[in-house]
Amino acid sequence: MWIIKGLRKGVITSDYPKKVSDEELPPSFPLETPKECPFGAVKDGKLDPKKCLNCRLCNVPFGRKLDVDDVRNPLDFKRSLHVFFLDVGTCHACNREVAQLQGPYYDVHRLGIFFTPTPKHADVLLVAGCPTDGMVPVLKEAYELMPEPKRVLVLGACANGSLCRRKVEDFVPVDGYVSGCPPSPVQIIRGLLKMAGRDAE
Amino acid sequence: MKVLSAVFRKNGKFLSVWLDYETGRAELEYTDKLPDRKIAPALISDTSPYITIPPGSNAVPLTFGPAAGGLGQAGAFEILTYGERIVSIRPVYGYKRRGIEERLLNRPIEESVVVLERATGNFSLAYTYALLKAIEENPDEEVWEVRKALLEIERLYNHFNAIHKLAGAASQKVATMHFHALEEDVLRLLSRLTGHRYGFSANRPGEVRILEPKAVERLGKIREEFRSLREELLESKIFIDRLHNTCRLSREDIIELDAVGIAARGSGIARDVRSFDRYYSYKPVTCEEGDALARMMVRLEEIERSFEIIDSVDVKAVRSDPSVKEGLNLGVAEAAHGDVLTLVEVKDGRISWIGLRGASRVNYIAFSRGITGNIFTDFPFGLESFGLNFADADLWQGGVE
Repeated sequence: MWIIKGLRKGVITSDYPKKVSDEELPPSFPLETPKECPFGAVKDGKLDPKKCLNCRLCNVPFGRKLDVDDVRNPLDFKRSLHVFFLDVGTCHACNREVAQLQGPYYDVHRLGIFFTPTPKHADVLLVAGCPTDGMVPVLKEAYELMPEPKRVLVLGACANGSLCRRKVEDFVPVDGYVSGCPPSPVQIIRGLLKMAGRDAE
Repeated sequence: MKVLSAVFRKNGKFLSVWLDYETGRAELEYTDKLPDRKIAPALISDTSPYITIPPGSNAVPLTFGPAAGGLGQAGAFEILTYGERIVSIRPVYGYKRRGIEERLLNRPIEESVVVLERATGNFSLAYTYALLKAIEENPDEEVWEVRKALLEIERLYNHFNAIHKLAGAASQKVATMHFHALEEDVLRLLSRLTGHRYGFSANRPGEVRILEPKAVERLGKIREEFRSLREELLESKIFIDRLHNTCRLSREDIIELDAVGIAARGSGIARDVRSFDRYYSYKPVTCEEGDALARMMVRLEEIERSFEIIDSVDVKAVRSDPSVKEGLNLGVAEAAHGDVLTLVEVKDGRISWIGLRGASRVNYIAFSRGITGNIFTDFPFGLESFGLNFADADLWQGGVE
């Protein structure tokens, strides 16, 4: 009976990166620079998207925006990518969004992106959360264990140094940032594709 | 019956919160010593090991986590085992202690709420519900009706997630994916409704922000789909067998460990904040067996109830102007896994001290009791049936630790 149910449901998997539907667009993002931000996202009159919590307290126009990532040092990979996800102190929202990548709506396997349970098989270390005392050694060790070439992609405002005192780049070299609180699944896919040297759009 | 709900450190003393789930009466008590209850050390994160290896035993201690692929989050369990049977187990708290709670002190309440939402993301609507309940004086009924509906929507996606995880543990791949999709459906609905996939910034002091009230109509389709999935799911004998008799908690265990939420209701004890919440008229769902299956059945029934509650509410943006209550106040809300509790002290319109206790802190101990004596393959069924997470358990208990 499950088979019939599945057929009836049809294909629900996202067309992203070919095109992105309204439904998948991430939560709203400030389109103008606010005068000030209580959480430190505005510095010297410029908005740092990495630190924006999307809290909408600043009362500037907000809109749905996808390209708020910043990947500086992509890999030269064309086919598959193996990812180790490490939570170093999240509020669990990032974990849920990363889990959704393996769900039927986003299904990153179709793009050749795979999650591994060990850093030893990983090309990309996907880190979320503010590094806590307990997790800093774990983060460093996971990074050491990864084979070359390796990259670190950081997810969410916490890991980028908003709210918490620490950020991931204090402990391991970081090659890319995905903004958002939490970043939506399409934003994470976009970050991962860019990290693999594949253009998202 | 009084339950020890939380213990915080305040001014060098222990401040314990006793809650009566039948009447909703709460008592605060300052003591020099921890209260004489089984759960008390865990409530203030005592890290002394519960595990002692009996002399001459072949059992070995094992730490599972904090970066284990199976857990998917930062947290660990210390397990004493012969290799198959779990002889003894305890959760290890502390890997997620971020100190984020200090950041919500001494700033405008609006900002404090934003920080509080990021304490436990997937229960954020419950936390803000509890906080605002504690500090809003002369509240507006309409605002609270909408907040109640949002809280129920949060319950929906968390319950779908728990069932998805349970089905995943039993390798029921098709059912897993269907429930995973349902969870995403609810997240998308919440995104349309409030502008955020997890409902952050929806509950503001004196205000509830709804951007697109029409989005709530999508629940009809989700409800239909859930009903047919529920039927199919319960027909799978292999799945039911894995849950049946796994991680069993008796009524006595619940009473001794002061367990709350789904764990208590699955063992026949009706501890539910909604039964005395003034904005609800709700009779808790219970199940007597106390195993993982009972907890799933409670969830399935609660999902139906949530749909009904949301249906009865006119979801729309409402704004009111309540004043802020000064002094020490308690707020409780029933999140998807159990109640969350905020004890807030407000001075000059700002929060000067806060104690947060999520149900995970209590229920991880209940899980440890239930899973003792089971075998390793039962571990995910036991764990996922509670729907807990470490972000919720590792919150600050007030003062310097």
